[in-house]
Amino acid sequence: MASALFFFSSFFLNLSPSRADSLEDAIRALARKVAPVVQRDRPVSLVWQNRSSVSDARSDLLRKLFAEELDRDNIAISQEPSAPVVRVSIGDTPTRVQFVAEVPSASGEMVLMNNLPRSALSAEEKSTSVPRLQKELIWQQPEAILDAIEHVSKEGKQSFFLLLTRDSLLLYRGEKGQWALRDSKPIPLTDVPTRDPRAEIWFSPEHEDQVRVVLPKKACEAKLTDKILLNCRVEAEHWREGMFLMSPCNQALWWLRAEMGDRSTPDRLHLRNPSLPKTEPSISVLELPGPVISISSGQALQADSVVVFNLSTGNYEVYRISLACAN
Amino acid sequence: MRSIGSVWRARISLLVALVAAAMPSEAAKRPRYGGTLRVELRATTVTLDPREWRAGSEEAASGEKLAGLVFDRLVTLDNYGRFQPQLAAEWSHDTAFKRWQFTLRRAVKFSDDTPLTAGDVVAALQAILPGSRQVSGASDSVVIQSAAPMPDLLEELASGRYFVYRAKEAGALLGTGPFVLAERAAATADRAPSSRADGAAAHLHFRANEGAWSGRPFVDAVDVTLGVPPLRQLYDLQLGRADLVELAPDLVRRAAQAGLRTWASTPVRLYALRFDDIQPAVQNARLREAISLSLDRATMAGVLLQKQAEPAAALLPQWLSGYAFLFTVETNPDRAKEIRATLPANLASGAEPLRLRVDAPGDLAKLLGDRVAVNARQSLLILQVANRTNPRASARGEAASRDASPGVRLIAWRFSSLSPQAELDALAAGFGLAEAAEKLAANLEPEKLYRRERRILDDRRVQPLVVLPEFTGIGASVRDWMPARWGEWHLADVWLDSEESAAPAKPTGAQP
Repeated sequence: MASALFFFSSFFLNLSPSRADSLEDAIRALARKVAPVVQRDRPVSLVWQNRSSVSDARSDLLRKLFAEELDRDNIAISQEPSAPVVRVSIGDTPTRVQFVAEVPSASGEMVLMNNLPRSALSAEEKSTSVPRLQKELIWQQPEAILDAIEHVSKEGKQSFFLLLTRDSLLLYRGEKGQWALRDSKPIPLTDVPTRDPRAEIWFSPEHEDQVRVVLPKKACEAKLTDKILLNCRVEAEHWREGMFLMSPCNQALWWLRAEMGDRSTPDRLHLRNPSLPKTEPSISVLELPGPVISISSGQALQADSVVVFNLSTGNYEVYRISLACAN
Repeated sequence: MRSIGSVWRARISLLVALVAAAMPSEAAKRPRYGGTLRVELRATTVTLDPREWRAGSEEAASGEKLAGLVFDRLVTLDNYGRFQPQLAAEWSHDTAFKRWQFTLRRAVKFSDDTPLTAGDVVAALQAILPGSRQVSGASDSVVIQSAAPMPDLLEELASGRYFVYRAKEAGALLGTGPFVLAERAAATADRAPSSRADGAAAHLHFRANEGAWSGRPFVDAVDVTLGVPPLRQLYDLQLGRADLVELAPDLVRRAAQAGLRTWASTPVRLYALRFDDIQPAVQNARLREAISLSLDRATMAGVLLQKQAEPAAALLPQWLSGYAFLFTVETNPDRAKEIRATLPANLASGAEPLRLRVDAPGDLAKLLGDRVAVNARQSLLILQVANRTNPRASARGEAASRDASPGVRLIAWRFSSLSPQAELDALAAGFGLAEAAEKLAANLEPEKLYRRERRILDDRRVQPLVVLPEFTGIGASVRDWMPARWGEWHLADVWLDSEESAAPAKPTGAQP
């Protein structure tokens, strides 16, 4: 139970939209440390250097916040070359994002610092060029995800989101545009611990209120109401070997697959014609931030769910993959 | 989006089923079990006992790499700055960071199938934690307490020597890790034998721990050959006789040109000069300043080390402290000459030349020592490179008697702690600095650590030269090579892709 509590607390922490203890808070705090030290008889110039994994866009925002905080303390920022220079640098350590300010003061240069856990750094996605395949991040968490499906009803309403982790099946229902946890059931994957856990959720459009969970040497039927009703039995596993997507332009079926690199390298999704040999080039390629863990679908042919381990952030992410009717 | 009718659904289901049978796996390539990972190391002797590791030494670094196969820690740190539970499932601390409580993971067993208890963790950690910290255990939890705050405790426990083990009567150590040391020298348990008299390399054989709580590793075994010279390691990698080798910095470019996979850690090894007061001349601060100004670190890193190193002005590297860029060192031979001219006659004339002893092992250290002497000479300062200390004696921290009074020593330091404060403490102690006695009591303010390092460096009794990464050559069949960027290997996650394996796969290092 204790580990379950730990799991859920960290789970919700990561989903929380709150920005407390964020980089933004940390840089404001540094500015408040700097302000009393700076000589106020003249404006200062600000030299900013980002040596960290923080994106340039975020770094620019932090610079602005820092300047705003100084301004709030009546310290003006000047572009004058002769103005005393306040240097701020952002760096990484294994566990922290470190802000360092070098501040001219009456008694010489002073070094002031502030830091916060690197894990507070939120994911910032690289923009990618997407000709036809398009992706949308719908979920992320640090705990491992083995598979996930998002089901959307015929009326287009979000119906449920199922997440399969190393030890649980979690059911979320859409409420006011957000997913709310309704139930979770423990699912031990194997009798002995494994470094290569594998499990899949199978969805069939004929039975929208139930899914099949395939585990090593076991299969479970999961009926989904407000609760998950599980019925498992010993069975030879049969792993899924692919997923389709239908073009919204002409209802043609396409085959979605990843590149099959190892788990230390980023993957790419390829959209292929299922009737052509594998050697034929893909019709569309989509870069992903890490290796693909699974490809599933809870919206037969309309969209697939792809679980990716993001190599930049260390989070497991679920993307909704769909096709755009584009040139 | 249009809805899909029932006929469509039936067709789709059928189609999915049909195509499913024909299509290959769509996700990342799944790991394969089996095979032996062949590793070659330069170290001629390795001990897996964390209590025997000398802080900052190469031997400790090799020992730590291999100990990670057999032992676990309470927590680990991932490459994203997050602490991950290992033997501790949960942890918490009080607001003052003086008391930490760790709840142990359940059902963890040692490789002899006996359960891990809080008592095991207490016994292991008490032996290696500083004496100011008390460890106690009860039921499934362990408490670490100190009168001083320990804000960096997780960083410390996730690195260095803080493995959990159980010492058996004969001195052997049991672990809960993914591998078990299957072959060891009978007379010296858990210590790998030195190179044999016939010159053949020594071996360590680790087999997979089938009952590991973290899951069985992918490879069946890890075969480690010790005492393999750098060039031989490169050849073995090229010829498919090794899967993982330590690449010497001067061979990295060659390996890349040969199309071999290489990997570099963050800079983890510091070379520095240590000025000892044993030789009276060294007590002269102006002389130390002149030598500092004479040193051309950029050339050392760029030319001598073929751009595989970085000039160092700080003791702790930037990736560890986050503030190393604040330290700068000037190279100014002319200014060094001016200072020399102001020195007392016996120092300026070179009548009592400074003696530099290269204590760091390896040819690279000798090259650096020679370069330091050349730089000094260019500023008209005489620095004699003395005979090298016996490497074994050096490893034990002993000086050879004939070199008993060098004024300057060239020392290497291998960073191992993820806590900058703990690392600076260890480094100050290892370098024999008076600062060592002045450990920071409560470093909750990051500026304090910086100021302490600044004080050490301002004295110029320690002068950093360069920092180097660790380089690894990786065989073509090695998959999921995902080490920590500070050089910690994760061999339990590595697997061998037999489709890429080179033909002759038998380890050959043991052959005379």
